[in-house]
Amino acid sequence: MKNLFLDIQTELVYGALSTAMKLPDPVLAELVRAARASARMQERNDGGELLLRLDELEEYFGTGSPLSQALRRILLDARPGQVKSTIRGYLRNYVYDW
Amino acid sequence: MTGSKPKKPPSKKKLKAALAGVGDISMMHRPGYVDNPDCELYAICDPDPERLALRREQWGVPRTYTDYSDLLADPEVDLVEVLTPHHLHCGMVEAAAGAGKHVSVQKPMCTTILEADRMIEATRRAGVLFKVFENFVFYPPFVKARELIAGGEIGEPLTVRFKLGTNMFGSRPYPLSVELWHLLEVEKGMGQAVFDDGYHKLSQAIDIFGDIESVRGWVDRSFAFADMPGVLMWRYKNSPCVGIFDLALSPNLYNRSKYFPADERIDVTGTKGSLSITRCTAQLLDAPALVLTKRGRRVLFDDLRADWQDSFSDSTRHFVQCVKHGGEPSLTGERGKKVIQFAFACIIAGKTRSEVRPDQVDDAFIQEFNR
Repeated sequence: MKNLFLDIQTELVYGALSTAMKLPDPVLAELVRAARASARMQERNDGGELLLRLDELEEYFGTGSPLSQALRRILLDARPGQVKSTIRGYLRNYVYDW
Repeated sequence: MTGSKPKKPPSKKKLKAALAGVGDISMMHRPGYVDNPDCELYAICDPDPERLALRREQWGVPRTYTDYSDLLADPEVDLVEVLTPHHLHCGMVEAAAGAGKHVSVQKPMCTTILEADRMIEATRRAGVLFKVFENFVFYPPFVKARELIAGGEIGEPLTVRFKLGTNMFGSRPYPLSVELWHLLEVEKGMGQAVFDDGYHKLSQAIDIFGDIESVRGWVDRSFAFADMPGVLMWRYKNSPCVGIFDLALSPNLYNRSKYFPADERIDVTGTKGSLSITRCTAQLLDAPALVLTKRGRRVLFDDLRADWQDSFSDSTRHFVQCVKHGGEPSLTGERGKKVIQFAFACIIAGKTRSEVRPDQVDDAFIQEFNR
């Protein structure tokens, strides 16, 4: 049951991220700002990793940094299995601690 | 030593060192100066004033500079450690040598063979000591293993195997910027795994059994910037031993580490015994950092210092000792050039499925491959 739950959640997160990477930088920066509340709830589990990532993403997407394109490439050029494995690892280790 | 007339080291007073670039890796360099009887960390330099202020507050360093030329103009500075992205190294090392400073540069020393030659020549001409900083050859279990091999504990070495497993969970959170600038180098054929992190293992490979004759291999790509999984194999020039290096990125493998979640292992097999080295950056295996197996018995070296930080501090102290008391850094510019030639040979062999000799790697050869 846990595996099925992780599978479904991984697919949902992957779908959302893949779609988000096609949005313009300013829209992405706004989305990152909005996601900060849930990241704060995660701070005790992940040692602040998600908050750190969101800060960086907001900076890269909000300022038109050349690294925003690099970030898109990491997600869009990677094999889907690699990205999903990363998402699943984050969920299992830092969200649910299974 | 790279120069025929080395700068005379100050005899009694403590040397004064400066770090040029105080990003993430500088936190590993600074402890080598703490309680160091021969040298103090006197100055830091970074174009980012916020980062500079943060490090000054953390470390209590007397002098800070946002301009590298101002740092080099400070007559109090004896030696400079260059800790900036690879493409900036050459100009910064040449400038430091021109200012009469002994200089250590983080590995890889540069991104072209011509730049390597320029750095070697500039430091030789200035008569200053030049070190290409690499820490894994100073990892105490590796140093001990080298002693055991030299002492004949495993007989004649036959194979050496290096393993690098890159993971994504289990360490402190570190900024994405630590990795993202590698993408700029990927465009020029230099991946994060073989050219940057893999440099440590290639450096150890040369350190342990000498120069490389030829390389074969296979290298794929993970995500956009990591040149792995891969397998590289080589023969040595002056040793019958053969080497292998396998690399993999496992995104969903939890690996406990204070630093980076990297699984590192070295296995050396000889005619009458074997050695296994592990841990270093992370602690995936709950095993002693060094194990010697011979005559049916296992000898566990579980009392060695085996923290990743130890290797940085020992590497720093080694260079300081060379500057202060005389001597040649074990990681010279010439050695650094050999390692990047080996790295490029690995990358080219991995992509083209052909046999490549590191000796034949120059910039024209690399450009031909990248065309």
